[in-house]
Amino acid sequence: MAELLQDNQVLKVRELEVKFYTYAGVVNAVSKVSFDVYEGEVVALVGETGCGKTVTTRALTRLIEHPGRIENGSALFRRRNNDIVDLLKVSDEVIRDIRGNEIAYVFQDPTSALDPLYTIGAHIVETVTSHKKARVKEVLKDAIKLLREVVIPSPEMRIKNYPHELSGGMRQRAVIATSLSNNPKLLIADEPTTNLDVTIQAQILELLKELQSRYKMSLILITHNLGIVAEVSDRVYIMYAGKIVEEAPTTDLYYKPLHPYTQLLIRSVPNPLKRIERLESIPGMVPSLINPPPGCRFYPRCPYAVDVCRREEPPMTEVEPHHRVACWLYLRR
Amino acid sequence: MKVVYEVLVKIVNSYAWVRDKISPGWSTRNSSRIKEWKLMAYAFSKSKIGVLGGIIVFVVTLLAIIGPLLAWEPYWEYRVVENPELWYRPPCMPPWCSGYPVFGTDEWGRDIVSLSLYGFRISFVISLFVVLLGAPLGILLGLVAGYKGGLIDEVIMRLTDIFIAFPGLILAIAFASVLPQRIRSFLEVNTPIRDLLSLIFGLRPEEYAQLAALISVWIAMVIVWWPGYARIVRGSVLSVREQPFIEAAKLVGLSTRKILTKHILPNVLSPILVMMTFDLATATLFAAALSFLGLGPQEPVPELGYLISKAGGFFPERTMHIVLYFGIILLVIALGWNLLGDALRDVLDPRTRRSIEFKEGE
Amino acid sequence: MSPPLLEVQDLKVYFRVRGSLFAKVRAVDGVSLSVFKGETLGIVGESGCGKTTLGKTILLLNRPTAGKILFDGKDVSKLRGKKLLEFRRNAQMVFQDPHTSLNPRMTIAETLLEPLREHGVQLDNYEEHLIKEMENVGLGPEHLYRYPHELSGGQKQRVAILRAIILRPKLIVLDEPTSALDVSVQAQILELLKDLQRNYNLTYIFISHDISVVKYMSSRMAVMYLGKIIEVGDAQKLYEKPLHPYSVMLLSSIPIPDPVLSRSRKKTRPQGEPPSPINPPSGCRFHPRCPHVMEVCKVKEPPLTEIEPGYYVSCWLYTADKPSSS
Repeated sequence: MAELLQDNQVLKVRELEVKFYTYAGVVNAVSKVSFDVYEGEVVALVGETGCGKTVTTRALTRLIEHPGRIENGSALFRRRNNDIVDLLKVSDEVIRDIRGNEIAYVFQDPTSALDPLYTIGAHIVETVTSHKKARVKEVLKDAIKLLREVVIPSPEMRIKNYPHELSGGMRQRAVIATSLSNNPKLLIADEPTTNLDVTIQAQILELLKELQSRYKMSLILITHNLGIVAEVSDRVYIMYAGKIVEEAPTTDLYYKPLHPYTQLLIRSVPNPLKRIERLESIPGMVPSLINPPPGCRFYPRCPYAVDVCRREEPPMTEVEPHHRVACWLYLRR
Repeated sequence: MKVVYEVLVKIVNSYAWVRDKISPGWSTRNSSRIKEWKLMAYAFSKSKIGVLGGIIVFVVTLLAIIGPLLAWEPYWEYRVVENPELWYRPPCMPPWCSGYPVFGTDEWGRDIVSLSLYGFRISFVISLFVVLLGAPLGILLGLVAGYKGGLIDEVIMRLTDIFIAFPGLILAIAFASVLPQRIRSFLEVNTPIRDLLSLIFGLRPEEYAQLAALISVWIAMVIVWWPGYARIVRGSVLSVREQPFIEAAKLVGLSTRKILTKHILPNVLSPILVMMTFDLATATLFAAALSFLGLGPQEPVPELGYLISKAGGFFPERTMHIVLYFGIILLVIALGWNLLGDALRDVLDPRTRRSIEFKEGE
Repeated sequence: MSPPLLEVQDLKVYFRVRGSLFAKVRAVDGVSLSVFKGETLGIVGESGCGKTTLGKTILLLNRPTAGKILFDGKDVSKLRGKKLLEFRRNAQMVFQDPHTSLNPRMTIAETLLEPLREHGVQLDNYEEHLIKEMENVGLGPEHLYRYPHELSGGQKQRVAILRAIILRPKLIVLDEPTSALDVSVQAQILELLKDLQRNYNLTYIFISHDISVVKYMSSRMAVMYLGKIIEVGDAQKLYEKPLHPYSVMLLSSIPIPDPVLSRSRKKTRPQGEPPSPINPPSGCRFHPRCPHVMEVCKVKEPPLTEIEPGYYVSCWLYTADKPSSS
């Protein structure tokens, strides 16, 4: 089993497919998505509303509910004890053991992630004790240390606070502390700073990066904010309409974007350091995922579309080292 | 349930056709609205209990409207006087006994089925009147309290609290000792009103004394009925009021009155409609209960609750059939409205519609 | 220079705190600014700084607690009735969330007709007029009789923008008009706003926490902190060389979509938590978190001073403390 994952590889997802069976028809939310995550790196999953980034990461720990179904694919994960398991195929017991413990989540809205009836301390205690036997007093001591690490002042007092007694930024830091309490190998942060002020956002991003390197944790960061991606991530995956269209190290992505969607996306964000006459916009709308047409999903909006794009879906090809793209422009035909 | 859906769609289409004739182009201007209605019809038709409730309500309403016309025995004739055998006659099937009412008779020898046809009308009308009169008052107060807030809100809500705490039964008893005489004198003088009300309730004008009792029950009920609406509406208004489109309406320059009627009311309508549907069940039963206690109309008016109470004297030896029969009728009426209300709540919830909405072309 | 279209003088907006007799939330605490015809004034700041309250009060959605609002030279802060309606015709707003700024129970046509009817605009053919107007914001006639939920976020925002300009107002306050939209749609809407400004000679007040967007859209920018304006001036100048320590921190916190530049630049972070607008610190409001705090900052509030033509800062680092003034 060891050859399936590289030595420093934490996660290997291949051909993941998630479909939603609605009244209208089958929504192909995630279609044959493959990506990797290595130890100690920050991977950004970027895309706009409806591209499937959230569904992809929820599928990793089988958090998909009816009418959604994980149809296909594999997600090999290296556990703490070095065992390699397929997250999509292990028993419910094992998945529950991994969730919150070896793979932790931070979601967008800290207010709804915290139960208003329980103190911050209670949250952390619950997270820890559901995965291992520990005495509450010990856990609380560790919790105070953890809160200090996420830069919450007077953590001994904050332990006893209820969520509404904390500001938005502090709440999100408390949520981060809770997710870190079991020292996960992989932290998945889904738009963790979208609802927060810019200065708090900057603090939290720095915090995440620091904690990630200190705990040797891998971080999957989901966002649509290209600025955050540039600041924090090592590698980027761009998603569109349920598929990954480009994969590259961060610097390469920004200085040499290959996929037309990526290029347009970067040009549609006002970069204050450049003089821009006009922002680029992408005409049209995201296609319906119910009966996707056979070819490339970006075809209707692509300025470089040619006939083959309409007929056939381009496969992912490596154009430069570690820089892959799914686009006919780069395939010799 | 496709049949139900198709019937409802036909109704919607005919309505649209009629509106088009009145003002051409109506269908295009309201195509989205029509689509919404069809979606609601679809959601409704998918709920088995909803359809069941709908059918019950339909039948009950039909009986309420044509009941008094269908009834083959006038409720004011005491058959037992001529034919003593008819006193509390139990039900019997035709092959064994012919010439006698199938379901039995009451103490005056009246066929209880024929009686119930009058009873449907009375219960239906009173519950309808109570809800249709009590709701608007409560809605208005709830709108004002929720939108204005502050002192007005406090005053109205405390008023609501007082009325909620007030036991409707005590009020009805208090009214029953004073009001019926006053109303009676009023009806004696104003014969057109007397005749109109008798017609609506399916009674003879001669029974105006009992009509007076009926009306006093009704008034007592209306007085305690509106607070529920005030509270529910106020709650909904509080959340709608914070929405940006209300601020946008203020920016357009709309007066408070216009904002309440054009923007807030339509958006709080759903819980009101659901509550009204459930209330029709509650009102039916409450009116029957008040009559059961003797606060409503007396002989010969066949109010369902009253009929059951009269049968109490010889229960269960001689009057089991009466209690069962009228009791089940009340049960079915209340059940029908409740099931309908339940389904209506789901149908009117925009989230249910959204998930069904994907199905285009229907 | 012609007189400003809008002039705000020492505006204060305080809200009562629930459950307390005396405590007040000082959402806007003495703001003075001018907006000139045809320009876009950007207002940036974080949550709780009062920028949204300021925008809404300018449009009289809140009554000011104190101060004056001069529109076209006339004081509008106490208007009622017909005069208020007239003012409304000339000053409108575009809200942040397109999903909740349109009445979900009214079709697009009804939503757009409302301002026309309310202000007594008589037309021969309303439908034709609406279709023509919708073209201006890039919407087709097929959207006219739809409900908001049948439109995408970007389309909804276009409707909201059309509703704001349909009476051809002079001033439009835009409160985070693109924050709830996807990145690619945001670009479309921003360009649309620019085109409309040019075509209809509109004046914008652009409020946002996204400084990159504000800088792109505005000619002048103002930074708000805890109910006060602490720096205002030419947008490019402010961005390149912010003077107030808070502005410096704010600007260095914005994520730049350029990995090399963003990681190489110097970052300063404000210490501590943002204070509450109920009990602002004494003296300069930023002093508890300021890395350059001096004694005077703790005691006296610095006035907003013009240190260059058209460029104002409120900070003791740039203003000499006059012993006579209090």
